[in-house]
Amino acid sequence: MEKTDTPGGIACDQVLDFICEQFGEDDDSERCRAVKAHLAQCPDCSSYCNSVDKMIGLYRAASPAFPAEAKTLLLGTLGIRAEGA
Amino acid sequence: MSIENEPDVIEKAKAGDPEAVTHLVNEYADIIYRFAFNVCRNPDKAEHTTQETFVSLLRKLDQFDSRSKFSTWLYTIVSNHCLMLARGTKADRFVSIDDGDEDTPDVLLGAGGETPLDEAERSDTKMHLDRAIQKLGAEYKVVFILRDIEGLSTEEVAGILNLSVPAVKSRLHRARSFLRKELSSLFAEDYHGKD
Repeated sequence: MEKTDTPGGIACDQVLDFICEQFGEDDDSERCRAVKAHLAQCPDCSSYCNSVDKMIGLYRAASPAFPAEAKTLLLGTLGIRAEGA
Repeated sequence: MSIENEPDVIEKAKAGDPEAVTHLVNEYADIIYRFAFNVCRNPDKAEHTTQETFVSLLRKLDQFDSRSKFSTWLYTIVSNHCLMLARGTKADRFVSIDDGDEDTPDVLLGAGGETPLDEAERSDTKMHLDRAIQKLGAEYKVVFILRDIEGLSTEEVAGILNLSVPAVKSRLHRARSFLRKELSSLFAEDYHGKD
């Protein structure tokens, strides 16, 4: 496949701008389809997209829940007796 | 994310109804804590910020305009607390990616208080994630967390942080690129250095 500066009819910087706006969202707009076509032909943008996606997934997975003891303490601070306390 | 009959619950909470306040805590404490934890990467500070946010929330609940989205208002309060904490705590020195060389920031791991045992118990991945995000300036970190981890829209993030949409996009792009570079060893097969 011949390499062009604008695979899918869109340049890399426009792809990054679009990814920045739409990451993780499903969009079937004309620009989104052009971005998908670009990603299929551009290993650099594709690798960027994959690694950012993985990175966000790692941060989401590593986000803890509020500890139960802390919630009891919080309700106490707010002047509310927690159930079972 | 919203509670069923949320306006009713908020009105009751405004009147000091303990059940309504408990309802708000049950619904939103996890979200606030998760956000605060991702900003400071320290459980104690995140708990403290969650407490402070709820105290502020109840104090300011009368100011909440019910035409707005409650969760957005909540993110505004917790973001302000986190940014104040980041600016005011000497231990939390952040590298600004506006200044100097993005490739080689000083290693400023911020938040102390951990024992060597705590450190050893962390997984390598978690440690990498902690270190990378702690190097990021608070203004960038908050944008990344709201947009990518919490999944808010660019417009919502702009409203919460009182920034323009282009400013949010710019900070987001720089934050992602910085973190991706810092974490390149975790996804080497995808990393080709494009930023």
